[in-house]
Amino acid sequence: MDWSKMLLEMLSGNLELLVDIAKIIFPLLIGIELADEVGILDKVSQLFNPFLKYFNLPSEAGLPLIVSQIFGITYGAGVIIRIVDEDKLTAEELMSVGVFLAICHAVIEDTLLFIAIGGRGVIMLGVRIVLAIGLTYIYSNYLVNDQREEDTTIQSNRCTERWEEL
Amino acid sequence: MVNLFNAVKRGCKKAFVTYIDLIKIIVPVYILVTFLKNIGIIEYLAGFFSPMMQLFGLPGEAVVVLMTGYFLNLYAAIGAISSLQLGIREITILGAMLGLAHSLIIEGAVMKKMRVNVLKLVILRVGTSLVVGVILNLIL
Repeated sequence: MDWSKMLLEMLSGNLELLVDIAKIIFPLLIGIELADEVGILDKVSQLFNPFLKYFNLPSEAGLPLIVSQIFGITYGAGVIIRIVDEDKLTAEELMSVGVFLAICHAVIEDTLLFIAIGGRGVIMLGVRIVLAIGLTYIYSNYLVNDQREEDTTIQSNRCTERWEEL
Repeated sequence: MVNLFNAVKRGCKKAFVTYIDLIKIIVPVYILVTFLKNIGIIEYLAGFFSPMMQLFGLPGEAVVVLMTGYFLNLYAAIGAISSLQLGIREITILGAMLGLAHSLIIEGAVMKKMRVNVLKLVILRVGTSLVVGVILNLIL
Protein backbone atom coordinates (compact mmCIF):
# COMPACT_ATOMS: atom_id res chain seq x y z
CA MET A 1 0.00 0.00 0.00
CA ASP A 2 1.28 3.44 -0.92
CA TRP A 3 0.76 5.60 2.17
CA SER A 4 2.07 8.88 0.77
CA LYS A 5 -0.13 8.58 -2.31
CA MET A 6 -3.13 7.86 -0.10
CA LEU A 7 -2.46 10.85 2.16
CA LEU A 8 -2.05 13.12 -0.84
CA GLU A 9 -5.33 11.81 -2.27
CA MET A 10 -7.08 12.50 1.06
CA LEU A 11 -5.73 16.04 1.28
CA SER A 12 -6.31 17.24 -2.28
CA GLY A 13 -9.68 15.52 -2.59
CA ASN A 14 -10.91 16.91 0.70
CA LEU A 15 -9.82 20.46 -0.14
CA GLU A 16 -11.50 20.40 -3.53
CA LEU A 17 -14.71 19.04 -2.04
CA LEU A 18 -14.77 21.59 0.79
CA VAL A 19 -14.28 24.51 -1.60
CA ASP A 20 -17.11 23.24 -3.84
CA ILE A 21 -19.44 22.93 -0.86
CA ALA A 22 -18.56 26.38 0.52
CA LYS A 23 -19.52 27.84 -2.86
CA ILE A 24 -23.02 26.47 -2.30
CA ILE A 25 -23.68 26.82 1.42
CA PHE A 26 -22.68 30.49 1.81
CA PRO A 27 -24.64 32.00 -1.12
CA LEU A 28 -27.63 29.76 -0.35
CA LEU A 29 -27.97 30.63 3.33
CA ILE A 30 -27.27 34.33 2.79
CA GLY A 31 -29.84 34.30 -0.01
CA ILE A 32 -32.46 32.71 2.26
CA GLU A 33 -31.88 35.31 4.98
CA LEU A 34 -32.19 38.14 2.43
CA ALA A 35 -35.38 36.61 1.02
CA ASP A 36 -36.79 36.33 4.52
CA GLU A 37 -35.87 39.96 5.34
CA VAL A 38 -37.48 41.31 2.17
CA GLY A 39 -40.59 39.21 2.83
CA ILE A 40 -40.39 36.90 -0.15
CA LEU A 41 -40.82 33.83 2.07
CA ASP A 42 -44.40 34.75 2.90
CA LYS A 43 -45.19 35.15 -0.77
CA VAL A 44 -43.48 31.86 -1.63
CA SER A 45 -45.50 30.06 1.03
CA GLN A 46 -48.65 31.21 -0.79
CA LEU A 47 -47.44 29.24 -3.81
CA PHE A 48 -48.40 26.13 -1.88
CA ASN A 49 -52.04 27.21 -1.47
CA PRO A 50 -53.34 25.72 -4.75
CA PHE A 51 -51.64 22.42 -3.91
CA LEU A 52 -53.09 22.36 -0.41
CA LYS A 53 -56.58 22.24 -1.89
CA TYR A 54 -55.72 19.12 -3.90
CA PHE A 55 -54.21 17.51 -0.80
CA ASN A 56 -57.38 18.29 1.23
CA LEU A 57 -55.26 20.35 3.62
CA PRO A 58 -56.14 23.61 5.40
CA SER A 59 -53.97 26.70 4.81
CA GLU A 60 -52.23 26.14 8.18
CA ALA A 61 -50.34 23.26 6.56
CA GLY A 62 -48.60 25.68 4.17
CA LEU A 63 -46.09 27.01 6.68
CA PRO A 64 -44.53 23.70 7.81
CA LEU A 65 -44.36 22.62 4.16
CA ILE A 66 -42.47 25.72 3.02
CA VAL A 67 -40.26 25.95 6.12
CA SER A 68 -39.00 22.41 5.65
CA GLN A 69 -38.28 23.06 1.97
CA ILE A 70 -35.98 25.89 2.99
CA PHE A 71 -34.51 24.79 6.31
CA GLY A 72 -34.89 21.01 6.16
CA ILE A 73 -36.69 18.70 8.56
CA THR A 74 -34.17 18.91 11.38
CA TYR A 75 -33.85 22.70 11.38
CA GLY A 76 -37.50 23.22 10.44
CA ALA A 77 -38.62 20.88 13.23
CA GLY A 78 -39.32 23.77 15.61
CA VAL A 79 -41.98 25.27 13.35
CA ILE A 80 -43.45 21.88 12.45
CA ILE A 81 -43.76 20.75 16.06
CA ARG A 82 -45.23 24.09 17.13
CA ILE A 83 -48.00 23.74 14.55
CA VAL A 84 -48.60 20.14 15.63
CA ASP A 85 -48.89 21.26 19.26
CA GLU A 86 -51.41 23.95 18.30
CA ASP A 87 -53.72 21.09 17.20
CA LYS A 88 -54.75 22.86 14.02
CA LEU A 89 -54.36 19.74 11.90
CA THR A 90 -56.09 16.38 12.30
CA ALA A 91 -54.12 13.12 12.46
CA GLU A 92 -54.89 12.36 8.79
CA GLU A 93 -53.84 15.85 7.71
CA LEU A 94 -50.59 15.52 9.65
CA MET A 95 -49.88 12.23 7.91
CA SER A 96 -50.51 13.88 4.50
CA VAL A 97 -47.99 16.59 5.45
CA GLY A 98 -45.69 13.80 6.68
CA VAL A 99 -45.85 11.92 3.36
CA PHE A 100 -44.95 15.09 1.45
CA LEU A 101 -42.13 16.05 3.82
CA ALA A 102 -40.67 12.55 4.08
CA ILE A 103 -40.04 12.60 0.34
CA CYS A 104 -39.46 16.26 -0.37
CA HIS A 105 -37.65 18.60 2.00
CA ALA A 106 -34.59 20.86 1.80
CA VAL A 107 -34.63 20.12 -1.93
CA ILE A 108 -32.66 23.21 -2.91
CA GLU A 109 -29.70 22.49 -0.64
CA ASP A 110 -29.68 18.71 -1.25
CA THR A 111 -29.85 19.11 -5.01
CA LEU A 112 -27.14 21.79 -5.13
CA LEU A 113 -24.80 19.63 -3.02
CA PHE A 114 -25.18 16.74 -5.46
CA ILE A 115 -24.74 19.11 -8.43
CA ALA A 116 -21.48 20.26 -6.82
CA ILE A 117 -20.08 16.73 -7.00
CA GLY A 118 -21.30 16.18 -10.57
CA GLY A 119 -24.92 14.99 -10.53
CA ARG A 120 -27.66 16.15 -12.91
CA GLY A 121 -29.94 18.50 -11.00
CA VAL A 122 -33.07 18.36 -13.16
CA ILE A 123 -33.42 14.61 -12.67
CA MET A 124 -32.61 14.57 -8.95
CA LEU A 125 -34.95 17.47 -8.19
CA GLY A 126 -37.69 16.39 -10.60
CA VAL A 127 -37.98 12.88 -9.13
CA ARG A 128 -38.51 14.20 -5.61
CA ILE A 129 -41.03 16.90 -6.51
CA VAL A 130 -43.10 14.69 -8.82
CA LEU A 131 -43.15 11.80 -6.34
CA ALA A 132 -43.99 14.04 -3.38
CA ILE A 133 -46.92 15.69 -5.17
CA GLY A 134 -48.14 12.41 -6.69
CA LEU A 135 -47.92 10.29 -3.55
CA THR A 136 -49.39 12.97 -1.26
CA TYR A 137 -52.28 13.37 -3.71
CA ILE A 138 -52.90 9.62 -3.75
CA TYR A 139 -52.60 9.35 0.03
CA SER A 140 -54.78 12.32 0.91
CA ASN A 141 -57.49 11.56 -1.67
CA TYR A 142 -57.74 7.78 -1.70
CA LEU A 143 -56.11 6.30 1.38
CA VAL A 144 -57.35 8.81 3.96
CA ASN A 145 -60.98 8.47 2.90
CA ASP A 146 -60.83 4.71 3.43
CA GLN A 147 -59.41 5.30 6.88
CA ARG A 148 -62.17 7.73 7.72
CA GLU A 149 -64.76 5.17 6.72
CA GLU A 150 -63.00 2.64 8.93
CA ASP A 151 -62.93 5.16 11.77
CA THR A 152 -66.64 5.80 11.48
CA THR A 153 -67.43 2.10 11.36
CA ILE A 154 -65.28 1.58 14.46
CA GLN A 155 -67.06 4.45 16.15
CA SER A 156 -70.47 3.12 15.20
CA ASN A 157 -69.44 -0.32 16.47
CA ARG A 158 -68.43 1.28 19.75
CA CYS A 159 -71.74 3.09 19.86
CA THR A 160 -73.69 -0.12 19.40
CA GLU A 161 -71.51 -1.83 22.03
CA ARG A 162 -72.29 0.94 24.49
CA TRP A 163 -75.91 0.79 23.54
CA GLU A 164 -75.93 -2.92 24.31
CA GLU A 165 -74.20 -2.30 27.64
CA LEU A 166 -76.90 0.16 28.54
CA MET B 1 -37.53 48.55 8.34
CA VAL B 2 -35.78 46.16 6.00
CA ASN B 3 -32.19 45.68 7.09
CA LEU B 4 -30.27 43.94 4.35
CA PHE B 5 -26.90 44.25 6.06
CA ASN B 6 -28.13 42.39 9.14
CA ALA B 7 -29.68 39.72 6.96
CA VAL B 8 -26.36 39.13 5.19
CA LYS B 9 -24.62 39.00 8.57
CA ARG B 10 -27.16 36.46 9.87
CA GLY B 11 -26.80 34.41 6.68
CA CYS B 12 -22.99 34.37 6.98
CA LYS B 13 -23.21 33.26 10.59
CA LYS B 14 -25.65 30.44 9.81
CA ALA B 15 -23.64 29.39 6.76
CA PHE B 16 -20.46 29.30 8.83
CA VAL B 17 -22.04 27.16 11.57
CA THR B 18 -23.58 24.81 8.99
CA TYR B 19 -20.30 24.62 7.11
CA ILE B 20 -18.35 23.67 10.24
CA ASP B 21 -20.95 20.99 11.10
CA LEU B 22 -20.66 19.69 7.59
CA ILE B 23 -16.85 19.61 7.57
CA LYS B 24 -16.92 17.61 10.81
CA ILE B 25 -18.86 14.89 8.98
CA ILE B 26 -17.55 15.01 5.41
CA VAL B 27 -13.83 15.06 6.19
CA PRO B 28 -13.76 12.00 8.51
CA VAL B 29 -16.01 9.99 6.17
CA TYR B 30 -13.89 10.94 3.17
CA ILE B 31 -10.71 9.92 5.02
CA LEU B 32 -12.25 6.70 6.32
CA VAL B 33 -13.57 5.60 2.92
CA THR B 34 -10.27 6.46 1.20
CA PHE B 35 -8.50 4.42 3.88
CA LEU B 36 -10.89 1.45 3.60
CA LYS B 37 -10.49 1.60 -0.17
CA ASN B 38 -6.70 1.48 0.11
CA ILE B 39 -6.64 -1.50 2.47
CA GLY B 40 -9.08 -3.41 0.24
CA ILE B 41 -12.20 -3.56 2.43
CA ILE B 42 -14.34 -1.58 0.00
CA GLU B 43 -13.33 -3.97 -2.77
CA TYR B 44 -14.47 -6.92 -0.65
CA LEU B 45 -17.84 -5.27 0.11
CA ALA B 46 -18.17 -4.27 -3.53
CA GLY B 47 -17.76 -7.84 -4.72
CA PHE B 48 -20.39 -9.03 -2.27
CA PHE B 49 -23.01 -6.38 -3.11
CA SER B 50 -22.29 -5.95 -6.80
CA PRO B 51 -25.20 -8.16 -8.03
CA MET B 52 -27.67 -6.10 -5.96
CA MET B 53 -26.16 -2.76 -6.98
CA GLN B 54 -26.33 -3.79 -10.66
CA LEU B 55 -30.11 -3.36 -10.41
CA PHE B 56 -29.48 0.38 -9.94
CA GLY B 57 -26.72 0.52 -12.54
CA LEU B 58 -24.18 1.18 -9.82
CA PRO B 59 -20.81 -0.41 -9.08
CA GLY B 60 -20.59 -2.57 -5.94
CA GLU B 61 -18.65 0.12 -4.02
CA ALA B 62 -21.71 2.37 -4.16
CA VAL B 63 -23.31 0.24 -1.43
CA VAL B 64 -21.09 2.20 0.98
CA VAL B 65 -22.56 5.47 -0.29
CA LEU B 66 -26.15 4.22 0.01
CA MET B 67 -25.64 2.93 3.55
CA THR B 68 -23.87 6.07 4.84
CA GLY B 69 -26.64 8.16 3.27
CA TYR B 70 -29.51 6.06 4.64
CA PHE B 71 -28.16 5.72 8.17
CA LEU B 72 -25.96 8.82 8.66
CA ASN B 73 -26.77 11.74 6.38
CA LEU B 74 -26.30 13.26 2.94
CA TYR B 75 -23.09 15.04 3.85
CA ALA B 76 -21.49 11.76 4.84
CA ALA B 77 -22.74 10.20 1.60
CA ILE B 78 -21.20 13.08 -0.36
CA GLY B 79 -17.88 12.45 1.40
CA ALA B 80 -18.14 8.80 0.42
CA ILE B 81 -19.07 9.55 -3.23
CA SER B 82 -16.14 11.91 -3.63
CA SER B 83 -13.65 9.36 -2.34
CA LEU B 84 -14.86 6.79 -4.88
CA GLN B 85 -14.50 7.50 -8.60
CA LEU B 86 -18.06 7.60 -9.96
CA GLY B 87 -19.42 9.03 -13.22
CA ILE B 88 -22.20 11.58 -13.80
CA ARG B 89 -24.80 8.86 -14.41
CA GLU B 90 -23.93 7.03 -11.18
CA ILE B 91 -23.89 10.23 -9.10
CA THR B 92 -27.27 11.27 -10.54
CA ILE B 93 -28.85 7.91 -9.67
CA LEU B 94 -27.33 8.00 -6.18
CA GLY B 95 -28.43 11.63 -5.75
CA ALA B 96 -32.03 10.78 -6.64
CA MET B 97 -32.09 7.66 -4.45
CA LEU B 98 -30.52 9.42 -1.47
CA GLY B 99 -32.62 12.56 -1.94
CA LEU B 100 -35.69 10.40 -1.35
CA ALA B 101 -34.29 8.50 1.63
CA HIS B 102 -31.53 9.79 3.90
CA SER B 103 -30.73 10.39 7.60
CA LEU B 104 -33.50 7.89 8.34
CA ILE B 105 -32.64 7.68 12.04
CA ILE B 106 -32.34 11.41 12.82
CA GLU B 107 -35.19 12.55 10.58
CA GLY B 108 -37.30 9.65 11.83
CA ALA B 109 -36.83 10.89 15.38
CA VAL B 110 -37.84 14.41 14.36
CA MET B 111 -40.92 13.20 12.48
CA LYS B 112 -41.98 11.13 15.48
CA LYS B 113 -42.57 14.44 17.26
CA MET B 114 -45.01 15.31 14.48
CA ARG B 115 -47.15 12.44 15.76
CA VAL B 116 -47.16 10.64 12.44
CA ASN B 117 -46.56 6.95 11.74
CA VAL B 118 -42.79 7.08 11.27
CA LEU B 119 -42.37 3.41 10.37
CA LYS B 120 -44.76 3.74 7.42
CA LEU B 121 -42.95 6.87 6.24
CA VAL B 122 -39.52 5.20 6.49
CA ILE B 123 -40.81 2.22 4.48
CA LEU B 124 -42.27 4.66 1.94
CA ARG B 125 -38.95 6.52 1.65
CA VAL B 126 -36.74 3.44 1.27
CA GLY B 127 -39.28 1.82 -1.07
CA THR B 128 -39.50 4.82 -3.42
CA SER B 129 -35.72 5.20 -3.24
CA LEU B 130 -35.10 1.62 -4.41
CA VAL B 131 -37.82 1.74 -7.10
CA VAL B 132 -36.51 5.06 -8.45
CA GLY B 133 -32.99 3.60 -8.56
CA VAL B 134 -34.17 0.72 -10.73
CA ILE B 135 -36.27 2.98 -13.00
CA LEU B 136 -33.49 5.56 -13.49
CA ASN B 137 -31.10 2.73 -14.35
CA LEU B 138 -33.53 1.67 -17.10
CA ILE B 139 -34.21 5.10 -18.60
CA LEU B 140 -30.93 7.02 -18.16
